[in-house]
Amino acid sequence: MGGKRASAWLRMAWLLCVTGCSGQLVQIKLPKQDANPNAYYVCAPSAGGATFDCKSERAFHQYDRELLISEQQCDFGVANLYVETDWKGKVTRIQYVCGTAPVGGFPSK
Amino acid sequence: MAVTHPAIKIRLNEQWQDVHHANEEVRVTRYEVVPKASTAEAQLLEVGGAVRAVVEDAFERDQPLRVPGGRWSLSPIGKPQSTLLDLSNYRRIGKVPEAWLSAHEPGISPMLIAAGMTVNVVNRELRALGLALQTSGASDGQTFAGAIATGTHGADMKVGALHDTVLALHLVVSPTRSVLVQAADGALNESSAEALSRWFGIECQLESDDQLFEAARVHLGSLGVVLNVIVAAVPLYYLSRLRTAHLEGASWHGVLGSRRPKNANGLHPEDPDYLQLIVHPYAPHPASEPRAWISSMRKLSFGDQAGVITDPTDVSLKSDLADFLPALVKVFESELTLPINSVLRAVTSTQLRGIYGSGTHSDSALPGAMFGPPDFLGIDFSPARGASAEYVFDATQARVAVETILDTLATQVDAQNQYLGGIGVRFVKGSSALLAPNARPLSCFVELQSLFTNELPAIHAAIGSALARAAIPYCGHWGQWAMNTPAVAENWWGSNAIESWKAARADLLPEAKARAVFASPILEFAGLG
Repeated sequence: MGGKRASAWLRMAWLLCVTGCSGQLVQIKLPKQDANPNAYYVCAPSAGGATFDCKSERAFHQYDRELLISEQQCDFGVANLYVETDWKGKVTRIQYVCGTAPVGGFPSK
Repeated sequence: MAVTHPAIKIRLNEQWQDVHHANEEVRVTRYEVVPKASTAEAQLLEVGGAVRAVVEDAFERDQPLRVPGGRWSLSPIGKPQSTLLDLSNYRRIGKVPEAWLSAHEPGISPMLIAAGMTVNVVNRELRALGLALQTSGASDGQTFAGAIATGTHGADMKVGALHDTVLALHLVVSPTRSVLVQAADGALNESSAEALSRWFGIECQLESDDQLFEAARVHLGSLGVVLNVIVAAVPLYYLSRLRTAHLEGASWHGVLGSRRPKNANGLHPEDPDYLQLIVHPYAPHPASEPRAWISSMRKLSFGDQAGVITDPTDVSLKSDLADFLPALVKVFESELTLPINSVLRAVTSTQLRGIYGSGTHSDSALPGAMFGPPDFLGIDFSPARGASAEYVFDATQARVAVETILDTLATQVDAQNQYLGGIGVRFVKGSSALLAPNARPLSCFVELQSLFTNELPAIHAAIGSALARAAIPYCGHWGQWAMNTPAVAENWWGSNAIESWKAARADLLPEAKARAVFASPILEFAGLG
């Protein structure tokens, strides 16, 4: 019984800690870009630590802050960029989502 | 042999998984169509050439081919095997050229849209033209082709679902052939097919045939590549919404039977365009907490009225069931073994009350804002998994169906099988599309949107059994929890509709090779393959 209570308290502490104890994940979004839901990439620091290795991986979307930037990548720019940090605030992963082509019209005939 | 085309970028070893993580991840080759020519005419030829090249390769290698949508479906309907043809960059919209039309329906603007565009973008572009979709789903991240593939609906009792606003579909059915399918009395003439042949470099044939059209409107992603859709847009309108909270035992039960929300609260309109209820899965404690919320909407002509919300990201509009699930995910996180049910139920009550309120709420918004992006796009479901099952009934059985589900949930919780989600009830006008979930004159969609727990399959199995015992026919939404087994499909649509859909598919895709290339995994599950 006591063990269950302790377990519940630990769980509650963990829940309270979800927002306060972890690092931050920042979504960086480019204005006027519509995301291509099928072009998403996750980046992890390279072995040397100077850059990131990016590949198509399991996506994450959760974020604590949003930042607008104007950087352009992919064929039609970047629509969304996600930066993950550890509890110290150190960046551990970045995810970017490519933008899509601008919307156009059809020929008149 | 690898596909080569100047307008294709080959993305190897890419991950595909639905947004809710309901399906296991798949590693695929994604052929991304990247049209970059300087003119519209040249870009259309690039798109046509790229589609032709990928389809040809799939045919040569007998390789199943999927066109990805918004990755919102929880069922395997969009799940690829190994190859994706990504049309996300083919984004065009415009009024159907006058020369294509032999007749005009008053009040309707036929719009030609690239089928891979999301509903969000279609809404935005139509608004710029002073137009709007007649209806849509509750939120807007689906591609247009994906939305109609699954029978995506809202709660429009006078229009129906999104597929009911489609006038024609342009399908690429082989590397050398496409068809423009419309109803037998459709308004398009041969000029349309001639132009599409010329634009895309793939021969197009106009098919004015009711059977093909009614099969294609809810196409299950299995009738070829849906390249373009012609949809009936209407002058821009706004939605005036009223939401009222109701206690357990109050008159909200009666609204399920009458579809007259005014009977539960005199502030609701007599004859609303939209009707939706949100229902707490369990009787709340204390009893002074709301058990249900009734939401009605009216469509009104838009003329830049003050107070009408136009921004799809306006957080004050967050009130659909889809906006409830992320809140639940944030609270429960990995709490999936349910050791403290009473606490979790209390949290569920708090979440529902927090989002839907305990009194009366009204607001107004353009359709593109009212049905804007849901919160789950900002959520990482991992390690949790989203789950959503949508049961569809004849509206005349709505009350007994909902009460059967609520009784089953109450029984299940006594067996420690707790459902961690909310319940949405929506009414939708019927459709003539062969495999449309809204197959009754007025259909009632009951959506159980929740977290996936180990107990959930048992809960849905119990609901299915209870509905069968009560002799209540139902089907499932094609994009949600896969429940359309051959028996369920037979019971809901009947053998005539099923055989007619299969015959139409064989007509559009006469070669077995083509049917294999374009088959969604949902076909085998439903006995349609």
